[in-house]
Amino acid sequence: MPARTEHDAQVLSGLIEGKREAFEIVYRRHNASMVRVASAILRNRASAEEIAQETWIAVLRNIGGFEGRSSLAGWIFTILSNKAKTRAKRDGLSVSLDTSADDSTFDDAFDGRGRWRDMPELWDEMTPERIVDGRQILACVGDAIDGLPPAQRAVLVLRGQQDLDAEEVCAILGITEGNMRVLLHRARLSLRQSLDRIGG
Amino acid sequence: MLTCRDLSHQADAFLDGELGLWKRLRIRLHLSMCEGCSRFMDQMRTTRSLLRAEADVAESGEIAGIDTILAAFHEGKQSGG
Repeated sequence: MPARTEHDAQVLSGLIEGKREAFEIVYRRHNASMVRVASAILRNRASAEEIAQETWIAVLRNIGGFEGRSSLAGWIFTILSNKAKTRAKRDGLSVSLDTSADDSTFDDAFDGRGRWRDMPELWDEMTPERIVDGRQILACVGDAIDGLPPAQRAVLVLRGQQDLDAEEVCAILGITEGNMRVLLHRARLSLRQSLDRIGG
Repeated sequence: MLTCRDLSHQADAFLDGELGLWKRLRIRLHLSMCEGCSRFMDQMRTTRSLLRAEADVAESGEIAGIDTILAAFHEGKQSGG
């Protein structure tokens, strides 16, 4: 059994037994992402934090019934997304994410024959420890993620940070796999462009 | 012939290991000859690792909300909710 999977099984049984340490591990791993995904659906940070909190209470109440048909993370984010959609409906918001993702801006980087107009920069010192304007570069990455259109942000967090399966991401957000791929690609390109502006 | 624009559209799938052998070979061949695309591919790799590092930072962040959640959970259990 791979170490991570074995560790996950221990965390899961700790969670079922109501151990605080197990809850702390799972909370640390997912809470910030949960708030981001919920705010992508609700367009409101305060409501998203409330929904994340409600989701955790539901997770603790129902963990005994978790059957392992999806990953634990997939199960948690499904509860979150259902709660966020219910809240969105109650607040009169559209529940479906706008999945349009226009690649044309990026295509301006190429000439008529499909070659780079300007050579991409070398990012020699783009490390997590690097300081830009007094802040670590990871804070800039965080801002760039929060500045993405909601659907791109949700996909990027679930797939690029939480490592959920493609099928799980599609089911949670109610989008097709083709949509998901385009959104993910677009989100990573946007992030790259933000980092490029910070400077190579 | 694969253009730089074509390669940029496939970069993500390439890094995700989702392309078949023939497409991977075409990309590797292009990368071996094109400095711009090599740099671009490195940038995409760095972008991914910074994205993950950002999630790790969040993981080591504050957990002030935990007590409120546990209190609400235990309260619910006691009142049978």
